[in-house]
Amino acid sequence: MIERAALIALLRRSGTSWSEIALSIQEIGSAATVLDRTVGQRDTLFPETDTAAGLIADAAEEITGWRAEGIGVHAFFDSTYPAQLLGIREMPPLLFTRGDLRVRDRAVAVVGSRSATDEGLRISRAVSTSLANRGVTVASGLAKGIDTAAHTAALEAGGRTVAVIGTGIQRYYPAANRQLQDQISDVGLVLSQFWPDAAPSKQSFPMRNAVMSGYAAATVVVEAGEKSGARIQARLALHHGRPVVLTSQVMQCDWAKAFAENPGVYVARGTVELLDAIDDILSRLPTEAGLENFPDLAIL
Amino acid sequence: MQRNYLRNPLPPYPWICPTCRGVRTEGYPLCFRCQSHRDHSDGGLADLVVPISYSPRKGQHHHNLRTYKGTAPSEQARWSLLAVLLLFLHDHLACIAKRTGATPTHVTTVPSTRSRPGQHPLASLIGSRLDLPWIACAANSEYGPDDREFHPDWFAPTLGDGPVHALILDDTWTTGARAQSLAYALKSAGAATVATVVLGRHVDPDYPPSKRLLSAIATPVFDTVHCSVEDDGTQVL
Repeated sequence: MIERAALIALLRRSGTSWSEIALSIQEIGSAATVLDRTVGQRDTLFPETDTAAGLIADAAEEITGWRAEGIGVHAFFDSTYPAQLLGIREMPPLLFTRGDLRVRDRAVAVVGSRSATDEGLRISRAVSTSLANRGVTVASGLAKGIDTAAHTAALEAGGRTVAVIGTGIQRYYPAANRQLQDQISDVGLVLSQFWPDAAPSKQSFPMRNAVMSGYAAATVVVEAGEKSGARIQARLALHHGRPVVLTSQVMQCDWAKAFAENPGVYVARGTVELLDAIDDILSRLPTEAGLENFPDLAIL
Repeated sequence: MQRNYLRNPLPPYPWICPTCRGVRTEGYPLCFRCQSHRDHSDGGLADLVVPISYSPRKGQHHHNLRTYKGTAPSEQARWSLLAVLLLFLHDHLACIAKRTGATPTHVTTVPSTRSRPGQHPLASLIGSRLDLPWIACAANSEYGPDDREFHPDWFAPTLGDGPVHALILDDTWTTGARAQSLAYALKSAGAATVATVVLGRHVDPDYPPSKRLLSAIATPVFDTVHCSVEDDGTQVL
């Protein structure tokens, strides 16, 4: 609890990037130690009156308040933190959750346009239903269109779905998806990297896309325009070294044609090819046994 | 192996240091750091330095290199780095042997100077997969983790009897001071050849001369067939 409160205290202080704070803790091994070293070191006009103990007490109070509302608060060094998020450069130091958080979750992200076509919605539903039937979690962003279709189909198939949202977890965005968000909290997981009361912003959605890519083993882009968030997620997934599956609808975009040349990009014409691609990706995932199953390479 | 975030080292263009593949000032044989190591070592440095990939700060490879160890290590980072390293050695150890004139007989890592107890994280990641004996090595506590200078007495490796052709494996090359201090110590202790393979050649995007390098590696292509040893037959040490 003290470590988590110390992390929150560090993040609440402006001036240092969140990723640098996380890396300092990773190297030094303790958030409380990093906080101790930080407090009083600011170059300000007036002497700093905060103490590390006071900041930790304030943060602990915040945590208690969030928990009373049913919000889970997880630091990256907690044993509850999703293992796959530790592996991306945008690893959120802190996660807020409602629902069933799992350290290990075999998930595939299904993303696409808010203004989806009927065909796009059909593909989104078909892919998500198949994923759910395979026991694979469907991750998406709770936006209108493709995302809503993906979450809904997974729920209807009795599968697990995770909504990675672009606002604080106390908010509902878009308002029309309020009931869907509550339903996912009840039977799946809603996850946010932002302070619980944070409003949506221009930056928050691409940041959310990075975390969704990191949460999932692969990203399927069902339908996307030339400038959509789905395109951003595809780019981020490639940066993360995660596979990307593009449908023939997406291949009509110029960005997708250039993208398809990269290693790790699958182009699927039709739902059957799409599911084959996903099966191929899932069969190559590192297992829970970690490095014990690492392939043997004769080097010398 | 996913490799979209990896970047092959550039050939030793007039503005690329032929040793570490960082940026050098045109007209000088080496970058400032490599020249400084050379000036302080009478040339007793690694015979060969082989960066596998660039690692721009805040990039995915940089993240992997920082999070495969420490508090809350990332399994994916560990898996990815092990794959990159082993595949590289599988494909290119022969290139290294050809250049140094000998296949490595021993392997070692640069001892951690952050006083973490236990085995070096890279050594524990590799385990016994290389089938080579590890060289034990003590670090002089006089020099701190943030020291960026070459010191001939920084490390004290223990070599047994018989010829030693050492392979130093390191995660990140920033200034090269630690790796080159170890190479010097190995040679002083009797190693016949020393080759250093590093997973990531750090690139600081805020250092203005890095801009040219970053723009030269902007296109996401990492060719596993390529290694920096093949770039030039006259690596200047």
